[in-house]
Amino acid sequence: MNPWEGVVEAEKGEDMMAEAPTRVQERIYRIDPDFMHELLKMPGGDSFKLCYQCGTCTATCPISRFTEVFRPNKIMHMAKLGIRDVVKEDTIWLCSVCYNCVEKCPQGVEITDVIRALKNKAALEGHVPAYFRELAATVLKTGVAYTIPGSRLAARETRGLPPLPKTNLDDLKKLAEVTHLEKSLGKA
Amino acid sequence: MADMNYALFLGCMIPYREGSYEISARKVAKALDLELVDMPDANCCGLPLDPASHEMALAMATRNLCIAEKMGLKVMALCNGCTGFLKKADKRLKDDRDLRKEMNAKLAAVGIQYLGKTEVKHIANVLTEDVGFEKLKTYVKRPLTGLTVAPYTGCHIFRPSKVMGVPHPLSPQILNDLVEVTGAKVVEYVDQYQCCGASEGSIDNKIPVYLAREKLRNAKAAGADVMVTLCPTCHQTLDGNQPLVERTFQEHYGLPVLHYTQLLGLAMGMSPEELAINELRVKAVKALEVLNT
Repeated sequence: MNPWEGVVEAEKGEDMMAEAPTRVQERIYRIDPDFMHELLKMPGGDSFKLCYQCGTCTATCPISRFTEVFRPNKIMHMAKLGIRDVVKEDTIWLCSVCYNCVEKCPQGVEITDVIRALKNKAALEGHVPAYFRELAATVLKTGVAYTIPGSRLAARETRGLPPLPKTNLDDLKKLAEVTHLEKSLGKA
Repeated sequence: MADMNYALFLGCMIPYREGSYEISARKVAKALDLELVDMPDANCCGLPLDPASHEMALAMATRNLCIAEKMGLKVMALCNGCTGFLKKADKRLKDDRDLRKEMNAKLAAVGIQYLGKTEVKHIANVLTEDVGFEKLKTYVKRPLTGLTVAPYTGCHIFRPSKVMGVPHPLSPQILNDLVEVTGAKVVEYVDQYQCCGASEGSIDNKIPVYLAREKLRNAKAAGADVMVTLCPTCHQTLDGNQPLVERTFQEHYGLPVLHYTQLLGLAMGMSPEELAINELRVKAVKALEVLNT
């Protein structure tokens, strides 16, 4: 599924009607009552049960303005109904973690954390964007989220900056083992 | 006055692409008598990995907190993302005894223990809470009169407010107040407290371009000469990606985006060269001309 289906160009005005964005495809989902209980056990994944579908999260979401496919209230509803396939939706990865919705939710649903729990669950089942597998590999190789070019590290001295601290990579590797990172990424 | 020594947490984006932030922050901190001690052996704060594995991300954050504890110092971060994630981890571990026990069992594998003895602050929090506005004002040697600034606060420094302890989570005044201290004029604009969209870039780079464009357009319409950020990732989206926004929409903004530490440095009498202002993608020479008259 292409998450960019339906990205709206807000500025086009009258053109927008002419090029009406493709609607999200209607699908029939299987309902699995166990799914809700699995999600309730994930860290931070329990507050969705308070959601009463007012839609405030979606109204306040800066991402929902630009794409029709990202609707936080819909994600909460799917979780509540026990639609396991929500973890296969690419849309859960569109949450930018800005916490706007969390500030405004009248029910105190930690929407960002619930979506994070869904992302974690998706990863566990192997539905993780390649970006995160690469990122995990980079973190274990360098200690940080990017591979900083050697020339840039060397240039720090000429720019009057102290050398960058080096991470003990053995420590990170051990942490990855005890937190089952491989398994979390749907591998092994 | 509070203890003015801090463990400096640089994170990833700053050494990777935002050297000018680090240079200006160190210069300003030195001038303000804040002692920054580099954290040996620190790792990524954990936030980028959180969507894939919350368990690993939390362990990474806690490892950083343990390093600061060992140094006996408070953590000062320059990045909103790092600040938010480390602070959230710290608060959760302080509040939840079971979680702390569980985490310490994992950390035993690398021979460290979390004790809950440190505190996490963004440099903006250090400036407002530890240095204080009164003292900060005395350092302003060359007020930036005539410069109109659109502050862009970012998200993780104040949301979620339950963790960050901010009184007005929908319109935090921290950066506005900090800009006002420099003598510059603050303008408000639509969506100034909304997300820059940077983390979307990991999935695709289309949405951040739309979000960055909104901010640039609204700030420009409000009459801003420059924008000011507190976070390297917001800066990357607004400054680094500005040419991309201009190309995508066939529009011209040419709106320089300064790190707050650069703006403060200017007000403290430092030169643009010292503060690495020439390293910005969108050049600020013309916008800063008003200061020379």
